Amino acid sequence: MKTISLEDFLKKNSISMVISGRPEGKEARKKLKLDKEDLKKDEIVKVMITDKIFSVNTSFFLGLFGKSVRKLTIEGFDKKYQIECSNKGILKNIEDAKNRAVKGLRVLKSAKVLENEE
Amino acid sequence: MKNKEFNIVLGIVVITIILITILTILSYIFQKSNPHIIALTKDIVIISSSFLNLLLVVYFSIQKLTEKKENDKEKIYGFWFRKIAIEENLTLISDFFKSVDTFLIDFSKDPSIEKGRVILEKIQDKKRSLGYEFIETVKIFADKEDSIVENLDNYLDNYDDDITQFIGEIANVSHSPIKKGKIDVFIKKNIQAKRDFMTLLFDYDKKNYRK
Repeated sequence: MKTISLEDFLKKNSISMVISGRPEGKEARKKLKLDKEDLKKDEIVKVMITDKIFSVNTSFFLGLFGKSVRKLTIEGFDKKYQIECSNKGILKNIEDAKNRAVKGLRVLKSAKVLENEE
Repeated sequence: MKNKEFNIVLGIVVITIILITILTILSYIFQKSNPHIIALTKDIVIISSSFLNLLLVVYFSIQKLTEKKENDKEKIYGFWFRKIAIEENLTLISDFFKSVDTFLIDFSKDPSIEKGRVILEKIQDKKRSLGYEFIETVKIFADKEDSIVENLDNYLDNYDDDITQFIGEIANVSHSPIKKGKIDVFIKKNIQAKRDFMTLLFDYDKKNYRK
C-alpha cells in the first residue's frame, strides 16, 4: 500500500506547522503524480496526517485532492485515499474541502474555469 | 436578437429609400411624355415616406420598451441582491469577525498548542458556517460564469490560512501568555478584512446592478 505523509509538505523551518494554500496543494499534487494515481482505482493510498501537524487547511486539500474528488466522487475518493488523522479540526476541514470540490463542479465553475485549473 | 431586428428594419429602410430614388428618377425621365406617371410617383413617394416614418417610430418605441424592461429587471435583481445578500447577512458577517476577535483574546490568555487547536477549530467552524449560510444566498444571484462566489470562497480561504498561520506560530512558540499588542495587530487586520470582504459584495452590486 502506498503511503503519503503530509508532513513532507510542511515548509522548511516552519514554526506554525500549518499546511495551507491552494497553489502549494497543486504543487504537491504534481509532485505525487496524483493524476496517474487517480486512474489506479483499486490501489489504496494511505494519507498520513501526524499529530505534529497543527493544521491542514481546506485551501491546501482542495489544491491537492480537489481534482481527485471530482474525478472519483466523494465515495470513490474515500475508498481510494484512506486518511489517517486524529485531529478533529483537520478532519472537518477535509470534509468541507471534499464537499466544496464536488459543489464546484456542479454549481460554481464553468467547464472553462475547471479546464484552466487543471 | 437585437442585431437581427435592427438589420431587418435597416433592410426595409434601405429598400424603401432605393425604391423612392428609382421612382423619382423614372418620373424625371418620363415627366414630359406621360404626366400620369408624375402624379403616381408623387403618391408612391408620400406613402413610402409615411411608411418609413411609421416603421422608425415603431422600431424605436419597441427598442425603448425593451431597454426599460431590462433596466427594471436589473433594478429588481439589484434590490433583492442588496436586501438578501448584503443587508440580511450583515449581522452574520459582523458576528464572524467579532467572534474571531473574542477567540483570539481568549487564546492570548493560554497560547498553548491544545488551546490553539481548540480556538482554531472554533474559528474554522464559524468560517464554514459563514461560507454555507452566506455564500449560499449569494449563489441565488450568481450565474455559472460569475466569479463572485469563487471570490468570496477564496477570500475566506485566504483569511483562514492567515489566521491559522498566526495561531500556529504562537501556539508552537509561546509557552506563557502573550502580549496583548500582538493580538491587537490581528484585531486591527480583522477590521480591514471585514471591509475588504464587504467591498467584494459592493463591487459586484455596482458592476452588475448599478450601471
